[in-house]
Amino acid sequence: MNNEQNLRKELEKLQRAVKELSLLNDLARSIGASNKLEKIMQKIISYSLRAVSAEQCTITLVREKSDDPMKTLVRTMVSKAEHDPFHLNQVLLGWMLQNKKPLSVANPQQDKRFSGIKWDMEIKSLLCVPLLVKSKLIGILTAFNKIQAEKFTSEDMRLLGIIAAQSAQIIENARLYEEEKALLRMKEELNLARQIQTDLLPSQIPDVPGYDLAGISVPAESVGGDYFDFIPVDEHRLAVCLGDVSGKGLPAALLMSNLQAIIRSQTMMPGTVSECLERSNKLLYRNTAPHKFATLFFGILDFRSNQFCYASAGHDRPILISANGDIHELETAGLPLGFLEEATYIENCFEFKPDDLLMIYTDGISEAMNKKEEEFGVNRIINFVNRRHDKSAQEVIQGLIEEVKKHANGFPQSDDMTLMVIKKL
Amino acid sequence: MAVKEKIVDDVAVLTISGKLMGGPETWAVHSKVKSLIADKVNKVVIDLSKVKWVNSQGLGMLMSCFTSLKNANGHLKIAGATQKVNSLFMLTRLITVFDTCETADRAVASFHN
Repeated sequence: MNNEQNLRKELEKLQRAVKELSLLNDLARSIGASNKLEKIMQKIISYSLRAVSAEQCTITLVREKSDDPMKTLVRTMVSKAEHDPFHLNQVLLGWMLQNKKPLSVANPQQDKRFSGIKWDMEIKSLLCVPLLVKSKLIGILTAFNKIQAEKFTSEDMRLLGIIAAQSAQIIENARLYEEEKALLRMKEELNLARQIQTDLLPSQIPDVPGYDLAGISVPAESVGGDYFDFIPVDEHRLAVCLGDVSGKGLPAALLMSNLQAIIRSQTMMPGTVSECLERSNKLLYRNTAPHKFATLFFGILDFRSNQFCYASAGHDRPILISANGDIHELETAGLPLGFLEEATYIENCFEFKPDDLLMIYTDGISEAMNKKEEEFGVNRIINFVNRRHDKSAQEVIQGLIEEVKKHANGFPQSDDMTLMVIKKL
Repeated sequence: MAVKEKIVDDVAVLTISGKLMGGPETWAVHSKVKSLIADKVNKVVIDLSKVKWVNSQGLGMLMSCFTSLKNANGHLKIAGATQKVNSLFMLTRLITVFDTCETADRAVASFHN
């Protein structure tokens, strides 16, 4: 009788081992075949339910890049939707972050380790195991309520532990794969945004009798907040503008395209340069958040009379260099666009003389820094341009960009660089 | 860049040192102003006497502080701006909008006058 009992026990043990092995084998095959995180998690849950005879299972993952994993519970997958123990999962995650070992709780309401926690009365027992990748906790796998028993057994704990150990790396790989896909998608979108923005800049510099014009914009990131534009007003007038929108990257690029549309539309309306800026300011103010603003230099060149009228919305003063070497920073001052609704702008005019060269730039040029934190500065701009009076407008801007890059000497630039040159022939 | 906070009666004095050149450090000043507003402190002095340079992003941050305080029925005073920083306030005509004082002490005193 004793022998028969022993044999039966051995047989049961063997049968259980075979069952376990086949289940683990099935699980490994099943989750190894997929790279979709959600599917993998669903499969792990369904295998875990069967393996430990639980009513419910959850997987909770923590976010990688965070200082406080407790606040960054990102994904929970539950076998049954009706009891999503969100709060409880946070508690368990907190415990697991400290202990990193399997946890079995029977009769949780009485458990001193979790006193002060409000347990769902329907939870009678639970088994929680860590999902570890290279000793780092990436999440937890939890089974709730052992079917037809008061608590989970040590066998259950061992088995769920093996499932977790087998699954953790696969979950992590799938997560990395998803992150990479998302990053690639973002890169594609950014490339598209850069293309759209490049298309917004003038593709061709207008051919204006008696003048040589050029413009360039080099964003610090994929997309930028600087822009320049040439806008034909009528047969003998051309508007020029150069703007620098607050902030960087995509938000700045979006605001920049908004600003460009505003300036283009307002240039078409009758009125003076200052009236155009005042209307544009109102529109930008109403369309943007209070901390968004732009500095802008705006002018209209009448190439019949050579009269150039301009106004500035807080932009750096353009530099006018005459043929005889006289250097003159244009007297401009004005509130940045989009800051105060009722801002007014003062307009000034001068007449272009032969060989006059007007250089309009953004602070990405003047404030470009090298490793020693020395700015390129306005004086270097003046010196460079002054020695190249005989060069074409295009050569001057290209040369200046090169000069700024030489000054920075590989030191990463945080701001976009934009230049415009108007040269009277 | 560093920010020191001092409360004088009902006025908060934020002393900034270094460069206001953008990035999270610069915007931390605006976050500080917003948390002061949340704590019902809406009289703020920003002391720029130890600030070597402000770029357009730093300027944007100061403008945001101005707007946040104005919207909370509060008031911002800017103290001790160096000549270089002042020239930027002139270029942008923010000198006509910002309430500026020579020193932080004077700015605090002017709140009480």
